[in-house]
Amino acid sequence: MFSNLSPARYAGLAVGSFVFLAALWVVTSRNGWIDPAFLPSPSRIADELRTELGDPQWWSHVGISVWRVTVGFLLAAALAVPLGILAGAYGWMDALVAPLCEFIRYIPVPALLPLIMVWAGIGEWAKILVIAVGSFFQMVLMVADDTRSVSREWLQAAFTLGAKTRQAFFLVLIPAILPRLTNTVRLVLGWAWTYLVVAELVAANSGLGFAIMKAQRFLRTDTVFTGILAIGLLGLITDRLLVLLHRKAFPYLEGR
Amino acid sequence: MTPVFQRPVEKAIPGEDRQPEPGIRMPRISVEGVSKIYRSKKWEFTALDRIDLTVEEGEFVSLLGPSGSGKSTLLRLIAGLEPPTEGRIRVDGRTVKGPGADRGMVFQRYTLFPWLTVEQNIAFGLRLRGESRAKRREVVEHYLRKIGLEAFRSAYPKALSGGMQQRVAIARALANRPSVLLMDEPFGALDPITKGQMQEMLVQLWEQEGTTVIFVTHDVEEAIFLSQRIVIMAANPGRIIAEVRVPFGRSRGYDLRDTEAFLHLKRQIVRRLEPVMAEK
Ligand SMILES: Nc1ncnc2c1ncn2[C@@H]1O[C@H](COP(=O)(O)OP(=O)(O)OP(=O)(O)O)[C@@H](O)[C@H]1O
Ligand SMILES: [Mg+2]
Repeated sequence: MFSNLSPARYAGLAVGSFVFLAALWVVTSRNGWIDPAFLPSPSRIADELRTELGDPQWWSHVGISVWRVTVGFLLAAALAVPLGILAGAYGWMDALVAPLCEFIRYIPVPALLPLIMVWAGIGEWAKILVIAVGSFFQMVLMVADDTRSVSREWLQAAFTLGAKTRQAFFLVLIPAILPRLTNTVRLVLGWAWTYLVVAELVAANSGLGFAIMKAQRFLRTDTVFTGILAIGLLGLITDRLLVLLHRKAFPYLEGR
Repeated sequence: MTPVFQRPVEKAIPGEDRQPEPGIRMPRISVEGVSKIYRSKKWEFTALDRIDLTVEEGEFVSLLGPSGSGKSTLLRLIAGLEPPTEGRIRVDGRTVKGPGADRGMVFQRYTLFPWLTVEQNIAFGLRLRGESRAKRREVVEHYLRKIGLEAFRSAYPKALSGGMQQRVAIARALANRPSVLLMDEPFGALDPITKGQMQEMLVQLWEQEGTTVIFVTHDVEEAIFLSQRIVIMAANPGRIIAEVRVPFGRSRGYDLRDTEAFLHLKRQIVRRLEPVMAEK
């Protein structure tokens, strides 16, 4: 806002922040300032990560977690995106959908967990449902907002060029929403990982959340750390992939 | 925030939808006793008060007036983007009930579709009508040449300057072959040099295409340079206070601005405008 940074400097500072944290960590564990049971040394965690990367059991935890997030999220998106667009586009849809979503959105997902377990049991669907429910209501509202913020003048221009309602909807409104929509999807996908961990911490015997929970019970702090790291990295990777997709899909935003 | 997707209402207006009778010359546009009143629970505002105006086929008319005199509102009513509170508007004899391809519009803000290239923007109206690819290409070529942007056919609007974008917007509207081109301060945001170039281009286009144009501006010189007739409006309530004929012929060069006749007309109009500018 107040000062612009060249991309190189930005990257430099960003890497610096990681290096600083890592250095602090190394110094702390070298000097034994904190009991390794609470904060294992980086080398300990690197060792742990190496063994886990060779362990099919660990990969199955990763796999099942990714699968749950993907299915839960896609389920939510498949309903929330069309509903959100309609709510942003039509007053009556907005009235039907938005206030209800606003209300439900304020109920924290963990509070809904017992209810979901009563309804869906503790099987696979229960976890997927937690993720879907957690993402859905936020997403409807955000997509509706994206839709409302489309410039009315584009629609008016289309109408004065002879567009019928359907044409204005599909040829102007939808393409106009897409860039923002992709960003919204990216944000909500990040939150979906939160709901995953909530679900797996409470009722699961597989998945990264479960692996973390189990490690904590046995005070295997190193395993807890690698679990957290794995979730962080998976989130980061999907996020970067979506950013890349955004650039590829909407070159016109930069005028290319 | 209100929902985006409010298609302008097509309010059925009872009464005659006279088709032009053969042999009788009809004005292209007739605005008949049109008022526009914006109401809410607490207030009521007359944006347009009983406007009567006719525009002949092929005519270039400017609406000139201070801010708030309802110029944009009148244009939007003619475009069919909003219904009048009273009165009616007819274009080619048919009562306006909603927006349509026969009334093209160019807005002050740049409204090209950013996800379409220059070519695709110009072809948008033709695509809506399901014109063939060959026909679309032909029309796009024609207008690309007219606006001198052949080299930018595949560029996205973001890569164009404001003046270039407005040229494309004009081409996009004209490609539809509208019977009326409505322009709402299309050059308002441009620097003086670009503005002058755009005005000359517009005069040429108008001469060649013969489109009827209603042009909104609050720049007196611009109004004189472009139009055959200037409709002067005042605010509170928005109304027409005078009409001025511009005696210059069709072909106009930039130098026209320095002639005594031009300056004389300008002084005359400014004198007419001054009192209504002050009363705001
Ligand atoms: N949707 C609306 N609701 C309420 N008032 C409106 C609305 N649209 C326009 N007005 C009012 O009507 C009056 C005329 O507006 P309009 O935009 O037509 O003026 P204008 O002559 O185009 O002015 P400018 O030169 O500033 O563009 C203004 O006072 C404006 O506030
Ligand atoms: Mg205006």
